[in-house]
Amino acid sequence: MTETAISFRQVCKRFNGRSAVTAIADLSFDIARGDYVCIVGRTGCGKSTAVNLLLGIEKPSAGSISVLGLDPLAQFSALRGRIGCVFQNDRLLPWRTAIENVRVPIEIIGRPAAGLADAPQRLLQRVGLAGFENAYPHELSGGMRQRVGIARALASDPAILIADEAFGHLDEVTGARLREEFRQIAKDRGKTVLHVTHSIDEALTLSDRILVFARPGRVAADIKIDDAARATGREALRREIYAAIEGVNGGVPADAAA
Amino acid sequence: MASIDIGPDSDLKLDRGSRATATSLGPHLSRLLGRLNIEGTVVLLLLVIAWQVASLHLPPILFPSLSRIATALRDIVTSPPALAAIGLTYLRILVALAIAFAAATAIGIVAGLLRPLERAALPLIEVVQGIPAVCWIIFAILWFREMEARIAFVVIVSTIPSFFYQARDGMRAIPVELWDMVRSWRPSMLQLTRILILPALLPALLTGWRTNLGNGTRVTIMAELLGGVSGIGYQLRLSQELFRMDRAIAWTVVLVAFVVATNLALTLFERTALRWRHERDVANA
Repeated sequence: MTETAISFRQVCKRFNGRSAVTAIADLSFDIARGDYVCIVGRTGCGKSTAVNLLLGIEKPSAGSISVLGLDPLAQFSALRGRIGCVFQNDRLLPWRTAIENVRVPIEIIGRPAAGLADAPQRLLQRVGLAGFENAYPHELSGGMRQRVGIARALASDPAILIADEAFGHLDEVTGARLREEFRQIAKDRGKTVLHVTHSIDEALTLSDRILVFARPGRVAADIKIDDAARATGREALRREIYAAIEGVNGGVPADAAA
Repeated sequence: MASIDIGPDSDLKLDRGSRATATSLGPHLSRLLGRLNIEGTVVLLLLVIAWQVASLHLPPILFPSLSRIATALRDIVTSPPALAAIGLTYLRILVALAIAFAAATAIGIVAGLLRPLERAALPLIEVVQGIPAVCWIIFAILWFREMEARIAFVVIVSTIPSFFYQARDGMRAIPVELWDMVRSWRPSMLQLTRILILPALLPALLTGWRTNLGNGTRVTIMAELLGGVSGIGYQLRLSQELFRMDRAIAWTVVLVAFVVATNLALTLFERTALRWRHERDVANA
């Protein structure tokens, strides 16, 4: 039986501002260890809210969330160093150089685990930034900053990687290279990946499984992707995902490869 | 004729015919000329000249000559008791500012984090800010016997509001994205402060120091002048009682030199500590 890395059970999230908003109504899904799962859906369907709940920086209004068997909110500190994130905006600390930014998760863990001491240097080399270790973020291009963000997400050797629209704003060539590099690193190291994306093509290329979110924050379709399907049934899969996003099939979870 | 700028801060323009002359001076000299505030320098020179002309026609109690002022200044900087007075005033200013900075910054950071604390602190800060320095001096004279305590008290309460607002507003200016990013790594409070809060606040805190250096200096001098028996303020009062305008101006020059020197030190510190900012922003600091 495959171990579950991430579990959402009937999760609900309401924001009570001037007008109450239900970002997530009833979200349930499981992600097994080592899987690469993409989440797609319309803007405002709760994808980023789900990420914040998973990180433990938002509190669910109802339901339960488990990350590596721990409650990310109640057992916040227990997950230290075990989740790495890459966001659309690189979110680099502007007062730290590239290598100092990559070191942040390691500093927070407190003591370098075996092999982590020189991890920042190696990771920057791996993402093609050898020679730029001492550059400040304002001295780097957008693509370079995003690569630093990826290296930083990997620095603490986390069990779980989250990419929240991490490649969307890059040019096609840089984005394609970074996506493949990210997937390769994740697979080589057996990471569990939750990747939020607007791009169905990106999801089809990278993931083992696609969760289609519908408003307000529920799973409309759960589609497994294998290599055969990716190669021969890509267009059919795309249509299926599109239909799920549009709600044409009533949001019924669909099975695999066409 | 086409014009070219010499440097980013310069209004000095050369026409095409003079470009050969400018470039023949060398790029460094050209940059230097571009950075000089020639108009401001001319105004100050004219002021000095006007003063000297006035000193030739008016009594020294009103307009002492530049040579008398220079003599008085020389006497100050070569006199051990005078140097001790200078050192004492500078020390009072810096120590009191440091205490105000530490206390107000700590409260401002926590107020930026905890809304209830901000709501509790704000009315008091606003009241303190509204009370003129002269009133604080009177309160201090009545409350404290010890001269140093009086002066420190006045400087601290006068400068706390500004430090508080800089810290609190600096906290509000930290992007939510960076908060979420750093929090996702589960740092301790100390790590959060070291990695995110203090570096993000540093520009605002340095601005607070620049503002309060002038404010703290004025308040210290006022306290020494009204109730002190030592320091530059006391010397100014003596100069006034002896009708020595030349000494009053010389002591004022000493004060201005302190503010200019500390501002310069702040600028140098900023250029190192804030080198991560774009050059365009640091150059104008």
